[in-house]
Amino acid sequence: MKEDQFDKDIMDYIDGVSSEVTNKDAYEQAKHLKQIVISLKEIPLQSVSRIADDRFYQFIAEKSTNVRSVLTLKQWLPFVMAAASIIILFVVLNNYKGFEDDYRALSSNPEKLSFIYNLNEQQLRTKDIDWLTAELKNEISPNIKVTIVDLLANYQSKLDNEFYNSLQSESIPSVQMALLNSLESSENIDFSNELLVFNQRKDLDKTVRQKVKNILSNQ
Amino acid sequence: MTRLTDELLMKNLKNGDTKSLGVLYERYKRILFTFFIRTIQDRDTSNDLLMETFERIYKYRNSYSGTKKARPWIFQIASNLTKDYYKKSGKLETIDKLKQEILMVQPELPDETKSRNRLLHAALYKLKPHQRNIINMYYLLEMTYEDIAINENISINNARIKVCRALKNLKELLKDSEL
Repeated sequence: MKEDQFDKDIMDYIDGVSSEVTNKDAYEQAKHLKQIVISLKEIPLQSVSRIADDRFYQFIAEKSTNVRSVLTLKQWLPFVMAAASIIILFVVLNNYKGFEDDYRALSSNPEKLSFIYNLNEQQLRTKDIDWLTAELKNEISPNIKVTIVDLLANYQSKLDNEFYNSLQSESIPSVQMALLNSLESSENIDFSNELLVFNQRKDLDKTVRQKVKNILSNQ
Repeated sequence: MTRLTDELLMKNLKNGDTKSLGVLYERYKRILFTFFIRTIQDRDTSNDLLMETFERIYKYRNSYSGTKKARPWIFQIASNLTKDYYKKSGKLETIDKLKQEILMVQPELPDETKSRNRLLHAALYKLKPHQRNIINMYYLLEMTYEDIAINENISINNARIKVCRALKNLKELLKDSEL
């Protein structure tokens, strides 16, 4: 019991709850332990490898595609309204640098994925949306493309036509699915006729073709 | 820009916004990876456990109570994974100096600091896994005694005493060094 009390006094001293320890021996020990604690806290954190990042973003891209297909229009409404507010702000503020330069400075796909994910915490302006829309057409990595579609879906009210145009030129099934998910939740424009034409493409993946059929049958 | 709280991100994740998990990952990946490296001593396993932590966060997102802090909940998942690892592996590997160098990357630090950190790491590795775990929970993850008590199923007072005993053992292991 006595030792427990010493330990408690020592920890109070190390934690800064009290400035002294009554027992002299315990006090000497506490001072030494505190020095060790200070050194422990100074050991730097380790960096996560790109492979680990890539693995995580692969996982989340898969989950994202699955989840998006079951999202309802009601769940998207706040995003659409937020996007509308951002766009209004845009018109007022012109002198804005955007995120493109920072993105261009990145060299690896995991870094790019991470950067785009973090843009979900930002309020994108027209300049960023235009850049990301162009990036969607030029990017090669399916993971990055799907992530961009997810990000841009937050600003969907302005982008339905862009999504449709991207769908026309897109050949990667996972990206086609992400674009179709976005178009599915659109309430602004009816793409039924265009989707019927799209579904005639001979190179379509079976899953994508079924997705188009489902969208058309739900309309 | 407003920084979204962990709790709001968890709420969004529960509502189907998987992007929130990406934000949490960016926020916690380094500290969790360091926790695994310092506790498990193996870089590949640490990468696996980091991934598994976020898979579990996703899997059990609906069991997270919105009224509690998300940070200790996430750290408890990580801590439980290390315990599961030790149960499965059954033994504690000893670690040689070369492996230590590989495990602990210390860019651009003065030699003296690097040397001190190596000594600390070596001593940490010699602690029993549960003591190493408790030191890392308290001083790296900065979990409170209360969080540790819940995680270890012990009293708060006992959690404080366990941290102290682990520190004393660490001090004993460092007695021949200048620390």
